[in-house]
Amino acid sequence: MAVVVKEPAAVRRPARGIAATRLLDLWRLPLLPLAVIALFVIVSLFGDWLTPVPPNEQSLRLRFLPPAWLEGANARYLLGTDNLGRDVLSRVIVGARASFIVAVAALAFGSVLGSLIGLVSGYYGGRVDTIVMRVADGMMAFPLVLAALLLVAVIGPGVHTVVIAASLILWARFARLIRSEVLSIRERDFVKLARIAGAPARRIMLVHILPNVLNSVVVLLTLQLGFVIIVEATLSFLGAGVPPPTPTWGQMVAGGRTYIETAWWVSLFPGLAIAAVVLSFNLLGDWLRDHLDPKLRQL
Amino acid sequence: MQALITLVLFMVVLFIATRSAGDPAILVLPPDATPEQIQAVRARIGTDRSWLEQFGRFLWDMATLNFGRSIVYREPVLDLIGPRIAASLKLQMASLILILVTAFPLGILAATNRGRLADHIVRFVAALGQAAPGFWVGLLLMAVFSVKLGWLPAGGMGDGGLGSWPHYVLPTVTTSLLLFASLTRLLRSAMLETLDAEFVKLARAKGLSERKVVWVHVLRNAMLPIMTFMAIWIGTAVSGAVVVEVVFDWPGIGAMFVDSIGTRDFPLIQAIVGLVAVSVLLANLIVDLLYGVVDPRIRIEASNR
Repeated sequence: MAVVVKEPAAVRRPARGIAATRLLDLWRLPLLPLAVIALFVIVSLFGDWLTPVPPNEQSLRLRFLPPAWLEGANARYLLGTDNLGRDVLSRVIVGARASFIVAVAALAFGSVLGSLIGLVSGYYGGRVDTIVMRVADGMMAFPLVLAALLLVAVIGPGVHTVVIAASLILWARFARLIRSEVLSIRERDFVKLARIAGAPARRIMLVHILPNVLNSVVVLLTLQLGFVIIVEATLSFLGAGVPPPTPTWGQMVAGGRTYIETAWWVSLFPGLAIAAVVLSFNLLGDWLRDHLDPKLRQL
Repeated sequence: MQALITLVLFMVVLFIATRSAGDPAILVLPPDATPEQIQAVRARIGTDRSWLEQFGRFLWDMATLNFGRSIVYREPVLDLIGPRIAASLKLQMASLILILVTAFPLGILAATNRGRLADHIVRFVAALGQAAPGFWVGLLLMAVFSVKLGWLPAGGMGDGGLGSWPHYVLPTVTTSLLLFASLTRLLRSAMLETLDAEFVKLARAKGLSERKVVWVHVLRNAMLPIMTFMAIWIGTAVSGAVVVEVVFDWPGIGAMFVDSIGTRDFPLIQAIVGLVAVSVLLANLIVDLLYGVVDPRIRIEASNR
């Protein structure tokens, strides 16, 4: 949610006005969210080398140490230790990777599949389009957590289960959005001209229509990133996500649940990490939407 | 009609999913069962027959609410899920009320005070509500209000009577958070769009009070995108309910579902997923019908067809 909500008038201003608005827009880049996202990516990629303490190092003597600024803390463990004496900070750092991998895989899968389906479905229309959109609606309406848990019961927990579960709903969201855009673009003159010029349908879709919907794809991608991260964390929390010993944020929150009375920091910090990353992606997505594609405001 | 097709499609998927997880006969019996015993159980539950026959029976059982017996509890599934559904619905109703009485005034407040302090605060709270995972918020609320301050019980439902209202507070707030945040944001943007419309200027020019303009003319027209969203959000609400019930030990259907996944209790899993699917479809159907009530244009379009 950037400060500028909509400025359609700005587009029609004379040249000097545009330059000034552009500058202002740059100034209003959501810097804090971008910084959090950059940190998240770096930590996901290089987390193994950034941990102050080995993330799986256990020490029963050092169980439940509070964060460093509280009484009885050990300065080596900045955010305290969990029930097995493992460093919370290091595990939060390493735990970023699971979220990152799941988010990237699910979005790559869901967005490509969904965009293609939306493209074809919207371009050809007709009965196939009706059926495809009906299925997409059904997918979006069905509770994701239920579907994911059912998948876990059938094919077992793991990264692939979470990715499949998230993709189930993601493709539908992308297909719906892209289709609605294609419906209006295919009536435009340049598409009609391409058809008259004898371009095959595949070429019209990929070369003429696809570039015109890419903006929307990018906006939706950013807005859905946070969603996927929450899904992953939720499934991990329910014990249906990436299985231990790989640390994930959702798992860590679940692990601290039993000790919430005495050792609140075990659950607090991983959850804080989730919230910060998701919030940042949502803010960036809002900003992108307002600037690339104001007509998507309803998303 | 379309809903029926979706339902049948869904049942096919559910049937394949639960059957592909392995032979139920092997799941029920101890690992040292003899082939004859396995055969006997297969004959009893019908898995020795053809797929088509099995699917027919599956559909019939679903339609007649004959869900069989739970493998773990050894009781009829229907008896097990009845009280659980009641518990879940109570929590959902409480949350729905909370969402409606908070999201509408706040969304409207933000839209009518666009760019001012109230708007910024509402948007900030809504953004936080969308970003913070429900299970974590629930835990934190529990840590603060139950453990630290000792004001509210940490879990369970109490005896279900009026005196057990403190049990409702934390789960209700947690359940409401995500939907409240989304609804507030959506309401705000939909209201902003409508506030610019010509008919709103006309209503003002007629000398109607600002309150009447906002709550009657603008709100009614802002309802359409909200209803579209509600249809999708019903599924999200169920997902959220599962999480909240687990966090707060609420004896609802969601918590039972998570347990049944852990124990691979397929009759139970099947019944719960089937019931949820039907309710989601029904809810969507109702939303579709409500469109016509809110927007006369859709009614006219439909009757012209």
